Amino acid sequence: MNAPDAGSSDLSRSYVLVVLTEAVVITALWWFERVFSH
Amino acid sequence: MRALDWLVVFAYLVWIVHDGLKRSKATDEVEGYFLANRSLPWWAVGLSVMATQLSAITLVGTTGQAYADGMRFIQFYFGLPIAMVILSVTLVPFFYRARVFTAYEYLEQRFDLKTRTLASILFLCSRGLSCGVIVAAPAVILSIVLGWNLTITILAIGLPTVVYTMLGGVQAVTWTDVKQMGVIVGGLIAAVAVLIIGLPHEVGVFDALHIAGSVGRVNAIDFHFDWRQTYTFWSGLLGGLFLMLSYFGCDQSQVQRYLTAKSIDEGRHSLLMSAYFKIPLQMIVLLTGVFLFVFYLFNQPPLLFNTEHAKEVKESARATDYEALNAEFAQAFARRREAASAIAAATDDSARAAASDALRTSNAAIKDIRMRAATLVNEVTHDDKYKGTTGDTPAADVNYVFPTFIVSRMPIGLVGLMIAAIFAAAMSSIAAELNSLATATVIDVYRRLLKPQASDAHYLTVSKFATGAWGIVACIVASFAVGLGSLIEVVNRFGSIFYGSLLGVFILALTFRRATGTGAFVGLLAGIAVVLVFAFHPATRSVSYLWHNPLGVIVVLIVGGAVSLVSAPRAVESVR
Repeated sequence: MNAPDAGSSDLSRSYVLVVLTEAVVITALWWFERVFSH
Repeated sequence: MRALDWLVVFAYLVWIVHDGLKRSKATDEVEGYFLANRSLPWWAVGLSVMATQLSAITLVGTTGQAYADGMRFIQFYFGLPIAMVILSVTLVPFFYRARVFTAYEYLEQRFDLKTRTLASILFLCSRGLSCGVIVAAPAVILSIVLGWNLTITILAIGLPTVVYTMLGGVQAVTWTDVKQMGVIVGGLIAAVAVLIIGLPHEVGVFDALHIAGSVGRVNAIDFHFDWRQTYTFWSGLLGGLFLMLSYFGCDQSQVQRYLTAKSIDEGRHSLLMSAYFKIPLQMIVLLTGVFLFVFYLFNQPPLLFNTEHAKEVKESARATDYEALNAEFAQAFARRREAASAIAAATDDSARAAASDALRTSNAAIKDIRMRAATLVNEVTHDDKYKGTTGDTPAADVNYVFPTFIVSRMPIGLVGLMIAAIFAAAMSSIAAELNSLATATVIDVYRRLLKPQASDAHYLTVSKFATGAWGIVACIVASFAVGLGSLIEVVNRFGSIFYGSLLGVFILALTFRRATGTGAFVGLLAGIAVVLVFAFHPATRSVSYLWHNPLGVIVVLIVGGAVSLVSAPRAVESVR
């Protein structure tokens, strides 16, 4: 199996940040819906 | 359109073509023409990736979708950020180190010629057709809304794009994409501003969102699991993940964008740009649709936005029936406006709840009148697209809501800017597709199979000719596609038939060391066959197409892996 190459440590941090940002965005959307739907 | 708007559109076209042609000076060899000598900065590539994905029909259709059905569409992109991370770690470094022009070239290095050729031909067939649809869809809408001649509209979108893509190659595509993204975002911001300014003074932005929310327009997340629904959290996160992996990892129109970056890490950064900004950008597009809905609660919209058959209906025996519906619609609109105003004026929760109930009731009445109008048009014209619904709007209307607003409600000058933005969205997608179609044609077919020993200058000439030829094909397909409404849907679904299987072949290549060319080839055919049956079998055809992609991957991995184990293994050498 070919070993994956994640790139520099800066990039590795970016990958984690992408996933965290998405979690925040989805939570914000869920909150947005709850606040304005009634 | 007034003279100033025409001037803005014309200035945009001249600017973009001129900018594209400027880039042709730096293009004197094939690697420069197709890959910009792998020299572009990550941010330009990232914007190009986003511009390619945001076609005119996405811009116009998504705002209409939010107008009719709320923001559920956003979930379609939930798999995208994770797909970008996975691709940055896996396929991006392999493509770079293999020094390939096309994604399919890598398949020959790893497997064999037949697998590469099949993958490339699947891409050429699918994208060749879809390129025509990308030209046709906005051309039809603009020609109906603005009363333009359809053929001239197709040529107005297609010809300038062909000219700068043909002469300037990928540099022209990328740098014009950057500017086109600016025009699109600028246009959207202007539209949102006009929509908000157009609300009554007593209705603020938060009031507008509360009003939209009371009729389901801010519904963004649906955690229910349903195979048949495309716009749910799970379909978007899981099914969408595989779609985005396929699109960004195996579709040459996207792969070629990041192959032009200066280095592996710059290529990765360009993909991560989409990971961060695609969902927010799509939010702006969807919020535009939500504010459109609120705007039309206070400003009377037409009974039907799509005026394609208006003349035919007015001259038919049912004209008086249609007029009666129009009068009924005006009264229902007044009641709905009153209910919407009551929500904004409500001072406590119980008053707001009562007003929300009234709005839902009056909105249902509006839906009923519109559906009767659509049925009437269907009975007069026998046009079946007037039969369906999207949310509470006739399906035939969805793509016409935003263009109608632009033409009838935006101020002079901004109409031109928005039409330019629709042109920009269409042209950026078409240019990337033409460029990638020409790359696959020349690199995977002409240079590999037909004329392997020619000079670089010869291939460069053929590449420009191929770009122009694909442009002509796109315009011809567009001319036919406009008369065959259902064909557009067929073409859109065509990609989903083989996308997942193609991804399966790349996963097989990267993860299964003993995988052979025969295994990959048979696996790819088996994957496509199974997905085809699945997509059209009565028992499974209601399953959302997003799930076709993981299905294709699984079939390729199982069949391709099994065939590889029983077929003679090819000596595995490093292609990294």
